[in-house]
Amino acid sequence: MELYRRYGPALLRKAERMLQDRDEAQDLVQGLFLDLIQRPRAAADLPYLYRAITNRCLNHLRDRGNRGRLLSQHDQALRGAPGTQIDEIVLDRQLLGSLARCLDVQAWEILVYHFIDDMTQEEIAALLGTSRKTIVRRLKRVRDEASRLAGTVPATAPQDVS
Amino acid sequence: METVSCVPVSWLRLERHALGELGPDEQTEIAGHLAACPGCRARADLIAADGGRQLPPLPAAPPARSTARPPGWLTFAAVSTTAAAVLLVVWARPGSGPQLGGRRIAVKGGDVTIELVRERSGSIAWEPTSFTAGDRFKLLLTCAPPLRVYADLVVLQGDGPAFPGTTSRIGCGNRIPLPSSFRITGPGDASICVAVDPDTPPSRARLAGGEPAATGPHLCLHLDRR
Repeated sequence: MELYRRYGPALLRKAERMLQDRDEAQDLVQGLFLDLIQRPRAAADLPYLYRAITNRCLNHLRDRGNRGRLLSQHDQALRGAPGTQIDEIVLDRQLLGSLARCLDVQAWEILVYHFIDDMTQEEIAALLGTSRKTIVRRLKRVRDEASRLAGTVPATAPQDVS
Repeated sequence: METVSCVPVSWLRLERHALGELGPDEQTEIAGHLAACPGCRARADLIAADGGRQLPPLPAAPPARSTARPPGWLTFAAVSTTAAAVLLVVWARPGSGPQLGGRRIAVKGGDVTIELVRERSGSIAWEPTSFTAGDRFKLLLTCAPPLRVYADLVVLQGDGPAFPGTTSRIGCGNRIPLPSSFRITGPGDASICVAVDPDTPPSRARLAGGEPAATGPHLCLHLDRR
């Protein structure tokens, strides 16, 4: 399958960043392409597939059992230094899992795009087919919840620089 | 080299840049950014270094859908009105080998078809009858929406039962994978017992007992160790 050969590695890297578990990431990527074989899409480009695998990873993380297992057994080789932060708060697996309980589905998806994939607000808006204003509003909610969960309150209102 | 304040280029743009999928202006813009931004260049290097990774091949021709789709699919509405009275237990004969693809578990609300997929050194096998150390397995469920079922599985070997994942609630569809893949690591042959129930999570205590103890809709598959 040409799409799998071309885009599979990029999607696997993306899933590994989210799950920090190589086997689980591989399963989700293969599942995505198995579904594509059965239900081909004409416009399955990388942005579309990126969003598809993001949602699969989020569904996977949302499952309480999976989340607990990934938190306790995630692949050490993929862990690396925590390079993702919400302002001054390190967005680790624990916080990502906790945020799942207090954010709606789209806010959690936006969180991933902005803080894990480093997309700008404009990129996220284009990917989701919504306005930048909506993304700004959702990101503020994400920051507020992250600050609350991390037990910190930003000294000043966070600024969107992207 | 002049150090610039780096606003990170997103991973998606870096991936598309590596694939040469962006427009000429954007390709040039990112190339210029990478030349000046060590952080983003390190990310691009990671993508390039990972470029040789081989993914396991996908199965070229999965089993025909006709055997995987429950017969009640097209008449789901009619079946669902009478299925409350139908509770069947499907038993697989020990040692007879898996007969997947057509393996069904009848539950209240419709049939659930179970398929086992094995990955060995990058090769995918549907309906395997054996395993070796290092094989990875995945269970796929096919059933008709809007049915939702609880599903769980246990691997039974000489050293006792092992539960590879957690009980999952699955929204029905075509070949929905159970969340956990698993490896078989114990001694001797293995039986994989799968239980599904639309109403309550299957009892693990009973599932761990294998065929004699399990109650409710389930089936057990036997795999020979090679």
